[in-house]
Amino acid sequence: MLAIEATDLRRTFKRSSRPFQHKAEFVAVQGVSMAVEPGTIYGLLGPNGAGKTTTIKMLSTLLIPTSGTARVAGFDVVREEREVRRRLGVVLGGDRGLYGKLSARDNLIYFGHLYGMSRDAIPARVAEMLDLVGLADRAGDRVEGFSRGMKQRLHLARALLHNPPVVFLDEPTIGLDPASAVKLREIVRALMPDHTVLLTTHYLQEADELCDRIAIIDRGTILLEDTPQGIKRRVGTDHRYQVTVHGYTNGTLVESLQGLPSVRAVVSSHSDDGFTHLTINSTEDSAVLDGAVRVIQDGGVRIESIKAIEPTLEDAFLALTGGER
Amino acid sequence: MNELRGDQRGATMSDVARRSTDLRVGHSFRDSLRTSLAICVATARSYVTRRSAYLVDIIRSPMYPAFYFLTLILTYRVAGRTVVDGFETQGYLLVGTVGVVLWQSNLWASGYAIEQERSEGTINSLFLTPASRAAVISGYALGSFFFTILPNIVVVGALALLLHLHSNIQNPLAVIASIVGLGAATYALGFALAGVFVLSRRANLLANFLQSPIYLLSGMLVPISALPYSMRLLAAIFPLSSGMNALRQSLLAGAGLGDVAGDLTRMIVLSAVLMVIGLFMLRRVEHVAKSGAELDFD
Repeated sequence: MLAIEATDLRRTFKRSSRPFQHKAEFVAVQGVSMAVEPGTIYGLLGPNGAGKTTTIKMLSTLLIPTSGTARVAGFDVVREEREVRRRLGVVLGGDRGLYGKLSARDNLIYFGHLYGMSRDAIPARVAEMLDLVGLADRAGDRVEGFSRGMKQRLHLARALLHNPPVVFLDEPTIGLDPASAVKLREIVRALMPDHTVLLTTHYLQEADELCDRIAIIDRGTILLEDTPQGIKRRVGTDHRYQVTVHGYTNGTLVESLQGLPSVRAVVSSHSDDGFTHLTINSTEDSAVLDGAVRVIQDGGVRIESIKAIEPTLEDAFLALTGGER
Repeated sequence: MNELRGDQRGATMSDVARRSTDLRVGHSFRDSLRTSLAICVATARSYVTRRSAYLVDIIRSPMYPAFYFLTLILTYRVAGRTVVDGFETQGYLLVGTVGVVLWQSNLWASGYAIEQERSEGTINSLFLTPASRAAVISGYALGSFFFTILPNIVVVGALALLLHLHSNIQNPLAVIASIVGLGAATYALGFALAGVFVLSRRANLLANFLQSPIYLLSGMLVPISALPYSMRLLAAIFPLSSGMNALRQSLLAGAGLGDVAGDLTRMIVLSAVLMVIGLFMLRRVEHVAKSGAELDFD
């Protein structure tokens, strides 16, 4: 059984600025399909307004899809919404979603009851969760005085409180300082393999680091879905090589390299120790190196090292979405 | 910022997740009832804690009906009325004030419950849980009973003693049944409105707008006999008017259970209808809100 399964999900919205005014319709999600295996972290990447949050809201029963079907933990998100909610933890992030006038402990106790946990199980589980997210020593403090990072960790504790097999994290590290983000990622990583996580994030490095599979979504459509490595491989970005040379200070070497067939760009940078790094972008694979080596040696410059630069997820993302993040 | 204390932590996520202990209660009818009751009590506790966070609310809540009651007495006295609808004015207004307390408390608790969650920014978190919405709304009403209604009844009762108000209670059970019934009727009316408030997106204005017509139609402060015929017809099918009449008769005119049975039955039936309407509205409104993405609107 798949942990998350969506088939051709579509969501349109109608909006008008005044009562009784004609409502304009726009499509937020158009035909999103996904199949997420249990025990994996699945990333949903996309620029602002791509449809990530709308997709998560449909999968988490907060929005009814205009068309299409979806199942979470084996249950239909429209017809069996209560069963889905029992098996799902969601972090929508931001400052909202917690009771500011309640303490961290009281928030979790209350949500424990709302999730139908037995009264006997709640105190120990709440203590465990507070401990897990590092808020045990602030358990009695009102949430309104918490920093954004602390609130985000409490959101995570709330989402995990009823031990759901599936967890949705919508931009969990947005707005966090680097240290808090690292800590949150540690917790997310530790959820494997007992949970399935659907993660949306703006941070490509985060997705690269955490996700087993990634879907890149733009304008409500999934453009590509694969492992992070697969996405980098499949997106036809330039091949990049870095050639480190010694003894080159000035001259026409860069122009000569740029004159080679298939070379799209050459960037040089000098370092203080006398080395120069030549980054060659080419539409061809390693074949371009033969010509480059010849040009460099003909120029009387000594080659110190040659290495291929792996394309990053950011390269792939920008290539697919046209540059906006 | 707190540190995640790595190996000092009591449990890792994997430890927690691997546990076979089922954290949830079962799914039988009895279990569902027990869960709903637990949600109701937890919501009441949360409601009282949140409201107690504001000092002004702690002071205002029990004092409000006292000033309201005194203002009404003075207004009627200035108008030269010593008897209203066959009752001594002060007694008439005392019962009216109890009605106002019950109605206001339930309007702003059970009626306003879901809207309150939206204004606090917690509606998505709440709607992500499998909790019965009716149990949550009932929890607001229960919380309001302890935070508002009980202190108000004590204050109004103390005022009644101070002012030496005359009562004529022949059957205390009839009084208790009338108060409980009236409380249930105001809760039912609030419950029926809860869904409407969510979609109105201006629940505050709507709730304020509804207060005065409800006062008129229920005979809380002005006798229904003083209303125009069309409004008296409306009042007749309004459960609070039956409740107010039952309470006045049992508290001030010595009516027994048999005397107020008709009013109580009518009130219970109409309240049951309101509850059914409320349940239907709540489901409908949640569906509409999720279809139209209304939940996120502030």
